Amino acid sequence: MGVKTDLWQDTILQTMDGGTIPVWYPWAALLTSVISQEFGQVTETTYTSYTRQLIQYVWYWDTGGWSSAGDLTFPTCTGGGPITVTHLGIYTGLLSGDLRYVFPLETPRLIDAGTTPVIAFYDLTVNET
Amino acid sequence: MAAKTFAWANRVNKTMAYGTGGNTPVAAWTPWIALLTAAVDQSWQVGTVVETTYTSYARTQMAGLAGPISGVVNNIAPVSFPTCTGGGPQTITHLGIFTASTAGELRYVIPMEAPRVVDSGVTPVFQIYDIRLGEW
Repeated sequence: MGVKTDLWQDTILQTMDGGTIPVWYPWAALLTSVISQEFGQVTETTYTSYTRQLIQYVWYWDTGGWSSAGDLTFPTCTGGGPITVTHLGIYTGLLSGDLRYVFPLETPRLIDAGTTPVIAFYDLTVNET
Repeated sequence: MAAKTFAWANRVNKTMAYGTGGNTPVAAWTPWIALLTAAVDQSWQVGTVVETTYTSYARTQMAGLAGPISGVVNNIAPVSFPTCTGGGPQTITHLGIFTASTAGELRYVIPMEAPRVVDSGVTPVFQIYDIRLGEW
């Protein structure tokens, strides 16, 4: 189950004080360590050919949560491994952007040359309330 | 600590660009505090609460927010409601945060640490940092 970063929580609360939340594009990232998910201190994987992936299929629950509704396939590793991915991060941009959610993986995944990381249907889930 | 209603959580979620009903920005809004006499689990999440009805009661705008810091805001000025002139006693169990002075959308519910009884002559007041609104 994913959790929001403090930065994202504060952004939501600031709507009470003149702030707004524009539409944003959720980009999924593979993380190899999370020092502080609250403060967004994470390390993103660096394997060769890696890029963040846009989450294009989202299922919004009626009860305040959301899930990814399609498989999320990352580029096949062509070098730089082995690297262990422990969490997923959801950013607002492809190359930089704010980190808004951190999801621990149920089981860490080892990525090495030839591995194509796939995050399956509904593996990303947030309960907002 | 406060919790969000489903409606507000859904609204925040749907700021994401994709998915059915997504792609909807959230505008700035003004929080109005309401005194609630009942907010039953499951019901308040869909916006069903009971607001106090004592004579002269009105919601109060929550102005002077500290933060947010780490997902929490506090009131940095006392929040005062009209003095009860009748209709009591009523027991306040929760605070509700609405988007308008009347009607509006319920977005957060905050349980009181200790229920407060409001009767004639009582002016409900919440001191600085008494109202702690969290976002998780």
